[in-house]
Amino acid sequence: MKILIRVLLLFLLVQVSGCKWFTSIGTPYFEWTNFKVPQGTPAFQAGYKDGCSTVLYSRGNVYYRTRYGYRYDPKMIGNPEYRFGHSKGYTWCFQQVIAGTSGPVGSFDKYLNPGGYDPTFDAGNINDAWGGLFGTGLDAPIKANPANGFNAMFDVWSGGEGGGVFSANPLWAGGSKGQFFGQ
Amino acid sequence: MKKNIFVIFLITVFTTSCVPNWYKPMGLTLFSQMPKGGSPGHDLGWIHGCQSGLGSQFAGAFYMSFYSWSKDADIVSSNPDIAKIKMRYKKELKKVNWNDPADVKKNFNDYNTIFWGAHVFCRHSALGILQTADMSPPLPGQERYNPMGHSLGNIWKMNGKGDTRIGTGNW
Repeated sequence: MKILIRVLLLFLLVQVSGCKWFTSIGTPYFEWTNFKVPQGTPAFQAGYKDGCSTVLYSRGNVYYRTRYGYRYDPKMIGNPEYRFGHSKGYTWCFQQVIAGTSGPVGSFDKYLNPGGYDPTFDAGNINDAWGGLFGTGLDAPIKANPANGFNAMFDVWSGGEGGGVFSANPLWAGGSKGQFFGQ
Repeated sequence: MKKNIFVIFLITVFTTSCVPNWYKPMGLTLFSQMPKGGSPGHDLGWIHGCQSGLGSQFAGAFYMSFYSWSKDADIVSSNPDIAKIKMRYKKELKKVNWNDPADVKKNFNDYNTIFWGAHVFCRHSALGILQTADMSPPLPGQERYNPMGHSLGNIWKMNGKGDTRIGTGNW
């Protein structure tokens, strides 16, 4: 029982402090996929909320789809304020959610990284980086030529022609990801 | 045991078949989201709108094989032929009071009002899930499904489009 209480307290602490950790930096979203509803009449706000929820499902990723879905109150279909709010909510949140999920710098956790994920930061294949920096001679000190280069010491492990302890040179163990030492 | 499986199968069939187009791609997922409590015209407009949206090129050629443009030209006509519409949608519009012009008008208005909302929602849902997985809807004439390039698992791959979680290697 004590353990259970401690776990609950921990969850409570995380929840409370979480409000401070992730703020809505320049986005209409609060932490954990919440969104702001602008001021207006109750009918407008209800429409805005429903419209935003709808597009967070339709153009959000699986993360948003666990929480949102199509929302439209058929009883309000004759209310122009509700319809206006629904339209505005859909349109505004559409612009936000596509930037965060399916846009060129999309990221499902955009609230953590408001600028989005920049694919140019991806090292990719280090042998091809910057147009082949490591294949044009600039990498000579760490390649096998000359034979006493930095890379050469790892040949002991990767074995050269006779096989070795490792199947590949551990210096380049990242493979296509291009990390050093597999990191 | 076999009997239980058969009963579960029957229950599944009968419960899911309440949703229109449940057997089509994303049919059960999307059409089950139609809001309850609307007028018959609203419901028909929503279904037609969703079908039309999924039948557009937003969703791509794959969905266009299953869905198509469904907007009823007679309902949206400025001078609708009531008798014709009544005959065409005996089941869908049976709760409409055809003797009350105001009720007929309201149902037709609801049809028109909700049509495009459902159209946008459904076409975006199909396009959105493709884009999330870094896929593009194929146009007619293009390759519709490439098992080598289009893994259905992409849809559930959170790092398909720029995952910034710690530990994924993107940081």
